[in-house]
Amino acid sequence: MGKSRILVLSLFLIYLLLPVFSELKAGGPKLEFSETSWDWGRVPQNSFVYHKFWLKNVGTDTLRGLKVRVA
Amino acid sequence: MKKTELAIGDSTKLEISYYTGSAVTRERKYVQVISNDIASGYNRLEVTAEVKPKPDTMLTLSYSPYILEFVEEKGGRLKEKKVEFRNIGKEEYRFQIIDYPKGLFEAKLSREILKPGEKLELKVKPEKRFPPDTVKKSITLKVKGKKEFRITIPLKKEKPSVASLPSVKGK
Repeated sequence: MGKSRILVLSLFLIYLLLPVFSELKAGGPKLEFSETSWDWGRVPQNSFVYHKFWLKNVGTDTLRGLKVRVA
Repeated sequence: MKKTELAIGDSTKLEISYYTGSAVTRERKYVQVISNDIASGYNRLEVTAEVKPKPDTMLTLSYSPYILEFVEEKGGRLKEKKVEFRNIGKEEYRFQIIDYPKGLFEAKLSREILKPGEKLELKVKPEKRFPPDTVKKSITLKVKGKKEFRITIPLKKEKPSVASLPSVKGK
């Protein structure tokens, strides 16, 4: 009876602590943008327009494999 | 984009250059940013533009030129250029520069409010240290009348071409 009670308590403790472990594991790199969209508005034909976005790692680990793809 | 890795707290710039083409249309493009930041999910940037013909007759605001082209003079100097805006309508406009290539150009408005019948100038001056290569940038203005809209003025500086001299035969 005593052993089964200890087992139930242990399982209950693990159940309570699971979200804490998940939260610790969730830490990692996190990319933040200066803005996620840009509108140039009215632009002339046959010309180049340009804009600079800033990307920052606000996470808890190094951000790797950073690359862009035009969709 | 120069960096492929960012340490904690580090940042990098992503420069997007878009060629408008000849089609008079509203364009919407997406740029997907991929990294090991899986928790944030799908990182996507959106850019939009309304490609307009010259002259842009849908506005009660006329302006010229539509593109600023800088030409290198003797000694490598570049002169200040300006865009003149004229209010040909009946409403007042408020202008604001919201984006310009810092470090390469200085941009200044002669005034912020443009009343009907008046004109204002956007002056663009290249910075002293200017690269010798071809430069393609732009300036974006926010214009507020009854409605708010944006106007982008492309900036262009071509690399000076070296003229080839005809061969001279010695006597």
